[in-house]
Amino acid sequence: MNYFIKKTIALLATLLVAAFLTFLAFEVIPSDAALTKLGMDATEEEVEALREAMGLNRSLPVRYGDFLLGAVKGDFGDSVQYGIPVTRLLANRFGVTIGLALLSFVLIVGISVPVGILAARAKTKTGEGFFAFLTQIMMAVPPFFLGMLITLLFGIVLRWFAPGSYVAAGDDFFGFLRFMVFPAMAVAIPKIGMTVRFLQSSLKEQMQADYVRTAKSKGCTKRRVLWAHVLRNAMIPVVTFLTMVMAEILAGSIVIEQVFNLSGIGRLLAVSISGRDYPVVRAIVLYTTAVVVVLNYGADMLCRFLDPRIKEM
Amino acid sequence: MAGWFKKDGKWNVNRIIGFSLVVIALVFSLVGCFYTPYDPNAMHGDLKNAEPSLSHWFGTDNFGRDVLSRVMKGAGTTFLVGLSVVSIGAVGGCLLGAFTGYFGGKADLILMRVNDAVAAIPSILLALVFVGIFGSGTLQLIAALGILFVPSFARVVRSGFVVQKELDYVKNARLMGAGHLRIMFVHILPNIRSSLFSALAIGFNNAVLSEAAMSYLSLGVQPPDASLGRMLSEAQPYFFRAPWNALAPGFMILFCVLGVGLLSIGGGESHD
Repeated sequence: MNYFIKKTIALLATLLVAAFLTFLAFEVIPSDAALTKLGMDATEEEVEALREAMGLNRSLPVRYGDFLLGAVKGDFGDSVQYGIPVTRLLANRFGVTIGLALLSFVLIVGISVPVGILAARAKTKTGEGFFAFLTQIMMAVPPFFLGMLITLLFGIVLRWFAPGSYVAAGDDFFGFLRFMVFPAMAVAIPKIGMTVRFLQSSLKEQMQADYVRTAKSKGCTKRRVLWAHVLRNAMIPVVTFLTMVMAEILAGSIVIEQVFNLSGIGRLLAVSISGRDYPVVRAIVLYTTAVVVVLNYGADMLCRFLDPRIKEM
Repeated sequence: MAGWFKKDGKWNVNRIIGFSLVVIALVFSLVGCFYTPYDPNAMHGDLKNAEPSLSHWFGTDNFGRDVLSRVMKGAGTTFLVGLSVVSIGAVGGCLLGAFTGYFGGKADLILMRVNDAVAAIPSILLALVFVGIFGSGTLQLIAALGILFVPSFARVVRSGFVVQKELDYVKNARLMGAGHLRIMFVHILPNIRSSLFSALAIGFNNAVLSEAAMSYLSLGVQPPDASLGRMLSEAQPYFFRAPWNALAPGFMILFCVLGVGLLSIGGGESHD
């Protein structure tokens, strides 16, 4: 069967399973949505009536079907805490999180690739040790602590930005960039450490391959070998790695949004979990998982394009 | 001992720094189990956000609690959570990885698929969902992170077993009548210790960072218990007036994770 069709079927199956697990996880919670809504003082009859009205008394498969249909149409019910439809609650916040994630990704790729090449070319023990130390220290800072340090240094001491002065990208794009680059840095720096280390070992492995020796003996310059041959081959595992990083960025922004007071998806998730606002949690988890799964699918497609030899499932 | 810090006759600077940082962090947290300069939870209304001084080395927090004492106590909590999480993950992962890697077959295929699926989703998201379902607290946090760390260990152990089981010494042991369990845990497991050790170090660091993040979001260790992440979240509103409140626990996490990480790579030898 065609690689593309196979992968697409696998994608749809994974999405269905993820949706079922998300649905099931919040079914086993020992809590009653009707009771939560009415409060502890409600009488037995009132709760029972609302359960019936909310459709909580129907069988599990029927409710899963309903949930799935709602998810496709973008209807996740109402938020318990805010009393407005979950979809409307999320719509305002998607922009912030997506902006943060994209900017972080640009920073990660823009900084990791040159630094990774530099690290791979380090020949001496001292040079290798230096890059090992540098990447390790980047990975060791807790991202939210990094965010606090960045606010202290750039916001309070140097006054390059005013903490809490978020502007939407639609209103003032450069103002948005000028503010967002700081939270994005907090998300990006630990990931840059990971990516540099990965790129370095991937490049080093490729530099020892036979085709490099062949290219050199043909008279290729060192620079041409690196840019035309090694980089393209080393990029394939890096693409897969970067999709994983993209998923990590989404996770990292949960905490960073809290530090920089950004009202994005991540902050909403943390608030909804403390507030037991399950419709919101369910929707966010489902959306995030879907994004991660689709990203992985995209990476598989891109790898296949970069290296047509990839055939296995 | 000195030889361990040297490589090709030169001092291995990264390993020396890593070792020192780990020793400092260990001394801090171990001493904190038995002795702290002040009661870490005692509040003093007249000493709010006091600057670092000789009597309070790291200053005091918003409730007048001694930050040094709280860091010592909190480091203990954080490391305990980290160690428990890694233990659960390592034991579960070793069992799962050993059986699937050694026996192979359908179970191996299915388990590894599930493993890949779980590994694709960021662990903090799953931990958040877990806490959302079972409530927040130290025990729930340990359980959630412990289970989530099983796949990464299972993968490392499995790939080791897949290679090792084909080697001659395993066939030898088999011919001499050793049982499968004996071969798996007495013969093969010690031979994959180096990859297991680096998985343990990475796992411990991830566990400490995850605990800090979850407690920072108020979904992990609950007050009044001190944990490093919890302290950071409590310190944030007063960060600009009393930065020492956040800097002390923050750098404690940084030093510990950096130290363990540097020890596990040993400085530039990972590519040999």
